Amino acid sequence: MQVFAGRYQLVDVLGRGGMGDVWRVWDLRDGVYRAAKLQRQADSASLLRFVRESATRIDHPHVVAPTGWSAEDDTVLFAMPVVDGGSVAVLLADHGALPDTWVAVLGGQLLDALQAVHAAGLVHRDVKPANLLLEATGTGSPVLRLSDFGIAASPDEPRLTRVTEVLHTPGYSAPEARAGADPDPRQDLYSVGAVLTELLTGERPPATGSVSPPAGPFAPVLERLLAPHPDDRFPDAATAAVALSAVPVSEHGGEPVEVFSHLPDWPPGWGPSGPVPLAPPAPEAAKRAGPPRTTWAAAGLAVVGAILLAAAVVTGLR
Amino acid sequence: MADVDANRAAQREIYGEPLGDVVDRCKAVLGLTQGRVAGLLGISAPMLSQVMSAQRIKIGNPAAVQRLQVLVETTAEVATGDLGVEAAIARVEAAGHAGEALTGTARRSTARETAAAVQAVFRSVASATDHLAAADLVGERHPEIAELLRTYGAGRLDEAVEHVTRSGG
Repeated sequence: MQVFAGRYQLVDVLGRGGMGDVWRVWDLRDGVYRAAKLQRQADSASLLRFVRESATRIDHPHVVAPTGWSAEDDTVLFAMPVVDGGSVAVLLADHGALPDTWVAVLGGQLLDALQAVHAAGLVHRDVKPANLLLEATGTGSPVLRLSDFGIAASPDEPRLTRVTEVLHTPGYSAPEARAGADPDPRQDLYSVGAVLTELLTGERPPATGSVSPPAGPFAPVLERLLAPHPDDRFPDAATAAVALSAVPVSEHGGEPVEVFSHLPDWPPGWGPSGPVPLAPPAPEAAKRAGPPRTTWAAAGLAVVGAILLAAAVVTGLR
Repeated sequence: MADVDANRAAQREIYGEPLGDVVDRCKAVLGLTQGRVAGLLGISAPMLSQVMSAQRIKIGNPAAVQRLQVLVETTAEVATGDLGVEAAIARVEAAGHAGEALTGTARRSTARETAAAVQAVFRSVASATDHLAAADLVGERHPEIAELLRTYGAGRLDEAVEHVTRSGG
């Protein structure tokens, strides 16, 4: 069984992406499972993003904070909590447009998270469904966790590389960000408007041009979030959250929205509370214990690996 | 606990027959795993499992329902021998796009799709031999540009994928 940097025992692959794989690991020191992003030190720009992300620690119930990082040979690993319910992108794929009540709750949690991010002096810059992870709460009330601070930036810091400046996801990024403006928290508010519109319509925002919010109770809030000029948006996430919470929403009928667990089954030798002793290997068991990578990867779905989708999409842009 | 019998009846109303039966038939005829069917429809494996076992009645995403319709149609054509399996799958994949998806399958293929799209652009303007000739012309002074021309204009898809992954870091 492979142990990384003497601390993280690799269990199975949760997802694969352009920048590296996300593994479920067993943290030998703390005795818990974590999700770990592994990356070979490919080039300075991607390493910079990686280190930046691992240094971003915002302690908030709706933010996924890295728990630590390690390096071994030419590979770096950074660990974070396992978030088991996939991403909002998966939720949209499964359910299409979401009921108003879900839009209000998810939007409120996202704005709370951004308030903490902005208070820490950062702009996330890549707010989109694939970066909004969910706890597997079933048909209960959702719990959103904002992730992937790979291209987060501070409005004050000097620009480190041009590379980080062009990384945006079309459709979700504010017009001024696309035009190369310096990071500004209100760019994240625009992205919130694009995401909430997608939650309401089930349609991805167009890669070019502007997002037009659907008519309905959310329209006034969405129009302000999506204002082309940052001065016309809400001044900050807190103000936007107050406005969103004042939108009257009605319950919907029909089947409940459900956030499934997207974690793969436990591989042999592992269980909910850590390593489990294997029975003396019968020939049958030995056969089944073959390389599990492909199977787990296929079952891995978005899970925490959704983080890496950002990297893949970004890869596609460059 | 969901009322599975009532849900199956509801599925028969909406989709013509219970979704478990529909999907099992498609899997058998096309030789697909359930995970692959979920990927083709653009929904998660747990969601497909829920509707197949009638724990849930409906697939909420209308685009996935469209793809399921195409899957059912093409399966029928494969069963009668009018269509090959590969062609059937290609038709499902072409039916409505899966959005910024979702499944491991879609995520893993992103670099590949990008590479294929870029190659298509290069090849739509000139032949592979022209791209190679152009690469030779600029190679001396601009080796990186020459590499672009060779990789996307004349290279194999795998080389392009490798290039996309490498440039994306």
